[in-house]
Amino acid sequence: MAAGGQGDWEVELFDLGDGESALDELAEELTQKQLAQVHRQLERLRQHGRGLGASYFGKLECPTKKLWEFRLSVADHGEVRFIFVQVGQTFYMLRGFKHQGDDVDQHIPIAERRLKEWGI
Amino acid sequence: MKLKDWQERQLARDPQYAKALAEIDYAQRVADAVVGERIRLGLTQEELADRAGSTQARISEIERGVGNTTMDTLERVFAALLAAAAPAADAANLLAAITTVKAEAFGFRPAGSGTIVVGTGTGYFAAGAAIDVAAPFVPMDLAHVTYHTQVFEGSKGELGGVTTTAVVANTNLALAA
Repeated sequence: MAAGGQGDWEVELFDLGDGESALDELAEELTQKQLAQVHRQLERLRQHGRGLGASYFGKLECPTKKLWEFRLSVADHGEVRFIFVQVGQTFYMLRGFKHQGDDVDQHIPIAERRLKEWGI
Repeated sequence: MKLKDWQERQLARDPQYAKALAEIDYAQRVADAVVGERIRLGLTQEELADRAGSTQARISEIERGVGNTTMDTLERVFAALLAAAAPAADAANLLAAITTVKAEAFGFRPAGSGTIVVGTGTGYFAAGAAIDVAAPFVPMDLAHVTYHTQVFEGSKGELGGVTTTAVVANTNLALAA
């Protein structure tokens, strides 16, 4: 993965149709404050990219072997995950969800389907 | 949809969202400052935690703008970043790094001289950082907490059109009542 310089990263959100995105889908599970915290942390990803450090990212076991997760925290001890694929300096956010227990595996097929649909 | 487009759309369709952003702004600006400076210095969260006498988990919370971080911890984190920055900084950076402001403008009163050093660094520790660090703690009834700044020596310089001055040693700030 290229390190990239500050500010030359991009974050793209999967389009669900009707103007809604993967972040809107996640928003249904969050308070306004938590959503704002997610938003700011995604902004930080856009600013620093992989430079944030290893603790923010996790490689996922999946059929395409392309998926990673971006780890966020929100108020009230909430944990949020975004499953993404990185192409060059762009993070394509496929699926966001409020992380509870060992639930990542159930979101991987959704992310894989969206990855195929997006044609990345 | 690009993230910045999402923000514009969200603000347009939900006026309450701007309030939510404002509510978290202080913590997130502190987070921006810590993340930015840690990355600039090439430190991992673990390394910063070691230098600050804290834990990786706590640094992670600060960087995400969540959790309850004490003033003491935040001071040690910023002191660790400043200490890490100083040896690596060349003379020009060091001279350019210091910005002085009038205490009254930000609701502080100086415990020592009339000039307060509010930060060092090459951007993240410019004036806003230390102010932003202190400000969110006002509601936490820490009105008498003293804020210590880093000690450097230098002479006048200029950075980005802002005139900088010699570094003031160990300035003590007390939040105005």
